Amino acid sequence: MEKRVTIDINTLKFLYERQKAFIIPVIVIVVCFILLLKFIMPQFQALFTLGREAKKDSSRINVLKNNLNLLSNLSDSTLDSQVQILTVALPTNKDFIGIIDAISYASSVAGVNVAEFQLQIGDLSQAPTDTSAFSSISLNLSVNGSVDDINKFIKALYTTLPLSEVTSIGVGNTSSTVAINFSYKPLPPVTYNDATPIHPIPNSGLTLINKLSNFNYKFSSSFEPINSSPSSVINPL
Amino acid sequence: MQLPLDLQLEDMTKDINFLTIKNIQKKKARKGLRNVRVAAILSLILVVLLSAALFYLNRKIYPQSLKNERDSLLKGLSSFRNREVKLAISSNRIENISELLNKRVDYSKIVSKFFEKKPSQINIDSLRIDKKTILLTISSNSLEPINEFIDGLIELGQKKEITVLLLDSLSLSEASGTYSVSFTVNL
Repeated sequence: MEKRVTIDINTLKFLYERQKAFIIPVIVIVVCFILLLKFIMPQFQALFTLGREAKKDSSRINVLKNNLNLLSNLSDSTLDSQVQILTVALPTNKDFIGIIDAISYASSVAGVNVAEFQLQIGDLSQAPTDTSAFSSISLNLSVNGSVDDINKFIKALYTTLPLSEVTSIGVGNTSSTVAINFSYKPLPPVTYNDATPIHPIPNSGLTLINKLSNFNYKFSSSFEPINSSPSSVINPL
Repeated sequence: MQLPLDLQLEDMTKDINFLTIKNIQKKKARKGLRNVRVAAILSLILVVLLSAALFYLNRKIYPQSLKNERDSLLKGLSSFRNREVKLAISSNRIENISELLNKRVDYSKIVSKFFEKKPSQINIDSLRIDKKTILLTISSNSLEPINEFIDGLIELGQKKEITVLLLDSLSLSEASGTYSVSFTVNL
């Protein structure tokens, strides 16, 4: 037979009166136990992670110090001119004005006439997105001149910015053709990572910039041949 | 002689001390309460001690000075972001330009070398340079300068400047009295 237990308010009162001295200590123990399990123990475990983080941070601080030291010692104007000459040499997009300027300059130096040229620029409305491969603008030129003149033209173009690559030359009795590729490459997105050491431009890079600064390139409005007045040709070094 | 059962029970009840039992129970309860209180206090002390130890270890392992130094360095670096970007652009361009320059062929040098020893009596009728192949047609009124020019090309081959030198054709135009020679040269 089922036994029925009835707990009324009086029973509860009785029990409370009888056990009330135990209630607070028991609550304290339970709370302490919960604190220990839920907060203190995980925090102790987190100490290991914190230790690793501190170790990482102290090495990161060294990197940050070096980076700060390096960046604070750089000159804005030097960097600006370096970036300028390098982006003129290898544009980030289809720099058809630079191309026309380079051809114009090379033809004037070589004393040849560019009879006609065909520039395959393509879509200008969309910025190139592939930052991993070189893109190029192909150009076919009909040039009037002797082999020597064509050679002078190629030579001048070789040392003119933006950088170009002659892919074929055809010299005939009446006219000659030169096929040239002008390369460009978009810049990849610059990502900041404070833990990564920043390296200065290596000596080989500075030599390259120095070499490029001796090339012919149009800066602002005038085309500057090799060893011209230094006022308009910026020497980044 | 044994007493009857009712008399025995009467004697037993006289011996039971209810007051003592109550005291023992109370004593037990008090002892229990004291133990619980001690346990509560000990747990409190344990929690406090562990928290203090945690705080101390936290500070010891990852000191505030380290955080402050890191934050101040990051703040300092944020003012040089422009320079960092310019440096990244420069590095990227240098890498790509080097690659481009390495694969670029200076045809003007090749042409110059090719015609360095060209006798003046020789006319260049056609020249086609495509990647590593040169197709050349020259003409002259005499075979002697042509021979001289071919000798110059053989010399280039001996210097490993050219790998293949093929004489494609040699013809004579009776009307104009000129010799015409075609070559294929591989660089």
